[in-house]
Amino acid sequence: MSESTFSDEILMSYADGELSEPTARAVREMAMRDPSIAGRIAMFKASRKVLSAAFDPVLDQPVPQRLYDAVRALGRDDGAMRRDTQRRPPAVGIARLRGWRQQAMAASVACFLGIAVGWLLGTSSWRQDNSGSLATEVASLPETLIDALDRLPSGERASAQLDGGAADVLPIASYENGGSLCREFELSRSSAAGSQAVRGVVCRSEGRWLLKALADLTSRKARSDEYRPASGGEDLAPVLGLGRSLSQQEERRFLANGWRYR
Amino acid sequence: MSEEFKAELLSLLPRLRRYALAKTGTREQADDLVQATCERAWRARDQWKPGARMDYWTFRIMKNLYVDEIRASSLRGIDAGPDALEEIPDHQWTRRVEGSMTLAQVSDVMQQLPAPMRDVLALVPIEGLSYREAAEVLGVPVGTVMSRLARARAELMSRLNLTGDITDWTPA
Repeated sequence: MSESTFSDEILMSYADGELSEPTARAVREMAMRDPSIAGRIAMFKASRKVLSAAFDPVLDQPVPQRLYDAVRALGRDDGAMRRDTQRRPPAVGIARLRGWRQQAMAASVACFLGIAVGWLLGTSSWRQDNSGSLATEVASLPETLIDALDRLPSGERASAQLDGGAADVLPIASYENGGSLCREFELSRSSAAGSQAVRGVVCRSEGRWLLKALADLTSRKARSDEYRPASGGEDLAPVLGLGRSLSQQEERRFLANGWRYR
Repeated sequence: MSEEFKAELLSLLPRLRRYALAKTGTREQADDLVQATCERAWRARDQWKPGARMDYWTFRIMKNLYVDEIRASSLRGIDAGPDALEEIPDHQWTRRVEGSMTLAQVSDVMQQLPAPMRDVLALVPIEGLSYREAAEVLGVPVGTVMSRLARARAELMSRLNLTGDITDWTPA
């Protein structure tokens, strides 16, 4: 141990920024005079970097489908689900099999960001009653939505068939940031039960669209009213650091080449 | 309430997996632990107050579950207590940290540490909780978190054979 008058706990607290100023100043002054103290602080700082650099990428890995399914199934069999229960093989076609990992991850990321963004935008949070909610359908990035995002120019509206019925897709803008491409879009659906709308952002990753954010724009008040598009000033792009928006011409190029950045 | 609860639980899956991986060291065990945690959280959902931090709440559930599991199955053998690592060798930390270590390397070394040390490593440097928040999750005093954490980090770096660059000691 060094000859410091400060304990390792104090030096670590300093490295973590958990010390209040008078003590922090004393540590700083001591560290400037004593290399062994400076080295000890450096070690604590480096340990945090090593750990977060090793474990942070886990957050970007796709959540296994079985976990995703297990949580979604909670309560359905009233607790009959057990952890050793083998998951049914998914009854899906090739197209969906290709995308399930992406969807699982996208959906979980979307829920998280959806809540954050919903809050940031001050629009509305997730609907209390999520059954049949448009946001839930969009969170799994159905193929029909992906198709629309692949080929629709921004500002052009089209209809996409989702599980809960047809919905209007409207790409709002496309963005580029250091070689990464994103698209912002809105989806709305009107039915006898009311109108719903969501706004989302998908970004290109390894040749696919991944959902980066999803905000439910269906305000509780407006739910039974006609849906009104969110007014300006609620731009997701700066909040999410999406970069600059593409010109029509640039966008056309990506629409033509399948969103490959070169 | 229950759909909202589920949506938030789903949103926590990536972080629960990271936390579980830091605790267990293998993906298989980590994912089993995450699933068991979600199931227990669901059964206990009446105890969760909407608006409260679900991440800390589920971390606590996972921590308790894991302790139960070790007791029940001796799955991971007998964990040495934190005092087993009282003696931290002296290092001068003069060598530069070369690049970053892989997850496997770091995870392997973490598994050599006692469970209470893994817990504080998982919560503070990895999950980014403050000492106080970690103390609340673990149900121990802040001082205990700090002493375990200081020893765990020194031990980890020593076993990884990593030493800090002396120039990088000022707060970011």
